Amino acid sequence: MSNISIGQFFPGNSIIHRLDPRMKLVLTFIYIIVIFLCKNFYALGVMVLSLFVIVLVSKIPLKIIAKSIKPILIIIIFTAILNVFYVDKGNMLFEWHFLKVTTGGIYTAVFMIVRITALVVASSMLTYTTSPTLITDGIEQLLSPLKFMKNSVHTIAMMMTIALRFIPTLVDEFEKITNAQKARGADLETGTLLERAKALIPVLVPLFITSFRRAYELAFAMECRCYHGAEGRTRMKVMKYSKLDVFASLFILISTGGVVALNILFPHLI
Amino acid sequence: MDKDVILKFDNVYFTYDEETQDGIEPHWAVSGVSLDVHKGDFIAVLGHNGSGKSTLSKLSNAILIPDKGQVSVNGIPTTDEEQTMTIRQHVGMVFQNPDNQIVATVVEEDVAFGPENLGLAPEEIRKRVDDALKAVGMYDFREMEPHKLSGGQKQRIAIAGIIAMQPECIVLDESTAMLDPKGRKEVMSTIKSLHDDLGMAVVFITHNMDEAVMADKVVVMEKGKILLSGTPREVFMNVDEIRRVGLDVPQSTLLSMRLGLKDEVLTPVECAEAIINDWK
Amino acid sequence: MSILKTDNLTFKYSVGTPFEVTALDSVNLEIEEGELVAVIGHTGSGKSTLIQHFNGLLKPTSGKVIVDGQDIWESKATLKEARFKVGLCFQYPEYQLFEETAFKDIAFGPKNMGLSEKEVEERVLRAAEFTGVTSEMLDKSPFDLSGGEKRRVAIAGVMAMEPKILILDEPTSGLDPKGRDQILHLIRNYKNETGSTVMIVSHSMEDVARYATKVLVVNKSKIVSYDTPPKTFSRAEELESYGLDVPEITKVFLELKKRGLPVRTDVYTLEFGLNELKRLREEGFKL
Repeated sequence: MSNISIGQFFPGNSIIHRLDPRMKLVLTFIYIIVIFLCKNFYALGVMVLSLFVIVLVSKIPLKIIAKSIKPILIIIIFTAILNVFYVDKGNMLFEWHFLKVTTGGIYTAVFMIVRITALVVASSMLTYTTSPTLITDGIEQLLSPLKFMKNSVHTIAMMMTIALRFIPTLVDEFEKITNAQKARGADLETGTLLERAKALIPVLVPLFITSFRRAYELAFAMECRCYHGAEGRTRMKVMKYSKLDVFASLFILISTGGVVALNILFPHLI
Repeated sequence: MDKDVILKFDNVYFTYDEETQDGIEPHWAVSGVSLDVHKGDFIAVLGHNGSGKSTLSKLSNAILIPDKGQVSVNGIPTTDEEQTMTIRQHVGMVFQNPDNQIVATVVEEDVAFGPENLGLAPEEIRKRVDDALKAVGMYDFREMEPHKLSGGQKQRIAIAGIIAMQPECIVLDESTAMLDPKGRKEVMSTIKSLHDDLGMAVVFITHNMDEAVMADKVVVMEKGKILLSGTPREVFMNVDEIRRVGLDVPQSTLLSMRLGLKDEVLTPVECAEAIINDWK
Repeated sequence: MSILKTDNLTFKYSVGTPFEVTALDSVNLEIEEGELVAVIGHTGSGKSTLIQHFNGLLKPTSGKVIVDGQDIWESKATLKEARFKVGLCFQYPEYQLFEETAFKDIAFGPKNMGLSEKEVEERVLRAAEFTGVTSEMLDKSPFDLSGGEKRRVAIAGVMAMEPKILILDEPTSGLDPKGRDQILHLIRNYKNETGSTVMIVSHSMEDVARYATKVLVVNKSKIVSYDTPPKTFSRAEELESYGLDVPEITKVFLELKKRGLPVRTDVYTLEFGLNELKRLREEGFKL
């Protein structure tokens, strides 16, 4: 179990990996907004093309990108079906009682599919190329100008880091306790849902108690290492914007410009 | 005051009893302990569970505050709340469970945690982290995730996290108790090199006499008091006393005593030599 | 008849992936009833994987596990039977306690066996007696007990199932010398009084030397030796090549031999050592 990895991070050294996490966060955010601003297929095409470039540069295998879409496949299909039947525009292709399929409906459905897919792939690119620690640190630093909430931002970031750190430990622990209770004849695999939920008590109680003990000891250990919140704390890894970040921003800026121009040029979906 | 004293226990009392009534003596976890830790000392505190040895360690850097008497670090009493950070930087502490003291998801980021809290400049932190990781022999693992390391390796990371704060004294509270023999050896040799190469004062708390014999000085605790103290040789010659308080004596020492040999023996090699000498 | 047998037991993790690892490699083993077997091997040697096969927590990739003459993977019923015939107590068992009272916690195993309330109670009390858990402790919440007491309650929880084979993974880890001796004593008493087979995974060669009747050495997914303690410890160099230690007294006698004293080197306890030196004296050997 100890070889599980946290999050979806794929370590690498591509240009995308080396971008400043803050810049990546901001650019991903902008990208997602622009995707929503696309009014027609031409504009959307620009965004898809730029995403394609980003994926290629990141050197993340396409297979893995495909995997990221899998969990939301149902949502995509559902949205597509809704649009196919509810949008009543253009030529009628098919009619049966209250069900109508129009060319407009098909176009809209395809448009939505592409838009959602691009959205998911874009956000996956962020988590694939940035370690969870860097993402939390990035969020913390981006929000740090908000002085009045500096402390709570730091606390939340610290909590996220610790949570990430302890996930594998707790998964391990869960497995160990489960085995110990199974060895005492606990049956966790059969029975009704209620019975199974009940059967989990002998596993969950020790797990909670151990977690509290861990939290208590960790708090001691952190105090011993002079932890006292955000006040006066520095970081070893200082985030620095580089030329790469300028290029990346320009890239997104140009794509955005393209989208705006195409939106004006073509007022219709297709 | 002696200049070389880093950590000083002066007639220290501590109780976990929440309410202490006048006239009734509370149950003292630590009861009238006086002990000086000098620069470059290597002290083992030996005692069974509940002898007060862990409480003693927690008193050393202001996690616990004595009820009576005083603990001071470089002359600063631990009761001085303004100076708590300074005290904790001077006296670093490593605990038993390596998992419960690692904060970050990357080894080097964890080692950086202490120096970051001290508010050092990034370049200085980088240097200290690299030095600390090299000192414990874990530099090649700096970019790994801690949960993928063995127990001994994790504990060495925890030690690196402490020495990156450059303390003068490091206290290890049963830091080998959860490790396998290999992990124990790794950690013990790391501790020894901290003492021998970096000149750090080491106080390590254990119930394992194999580890205690490595120290320059052994302190045996019982019922919150110091029962015996001296060099390992002096202490382990009190075989009956040590066994009475539920601790072990090296088997080599026992064998030579049962044979009625006069030499003070701690290790198998010394024991064999003593037997040969006696034979002649 | 042997109580526990494995037949070409092989176990692989992550079969069919690039991460495939062989944790056990064609292990053949036969353990007689009533032995106190010490299982030794460094971390990652495969010993933990091995013991988890004995009660069916892990399923062999190939080969068989035979408990009391029965292939445990033959059917669901035989597997369930194996869970109770082979009691497995993991390292730091106190971390599995969960009930309101120590009594209820010890009763968890016997209850899962479907025994009558009366039978459950009898078993709990018997197990409590073996482990030195007092009636006062039985009524307490297990979380209010001391570390050593918790450990004993947890061991009682496995003993109460009255398994034919009791396996304990490092039952003394983290305990001080006194606590360690108490636990090892009670385990030996339990074995002597019930006549059941006991296996202890241990890192301490001193404990192995003092308590075991047989030593099982695991190295690199294979069993490299299964023999009596003197025969096992007489092969000090071999043990060291597996990353294992030998008892301190054995070390003394190895040193004596190096220095020209013609002593036996399979000496592993203090009494044994004293006798060996006495024998040599009486023979009038001179250096």
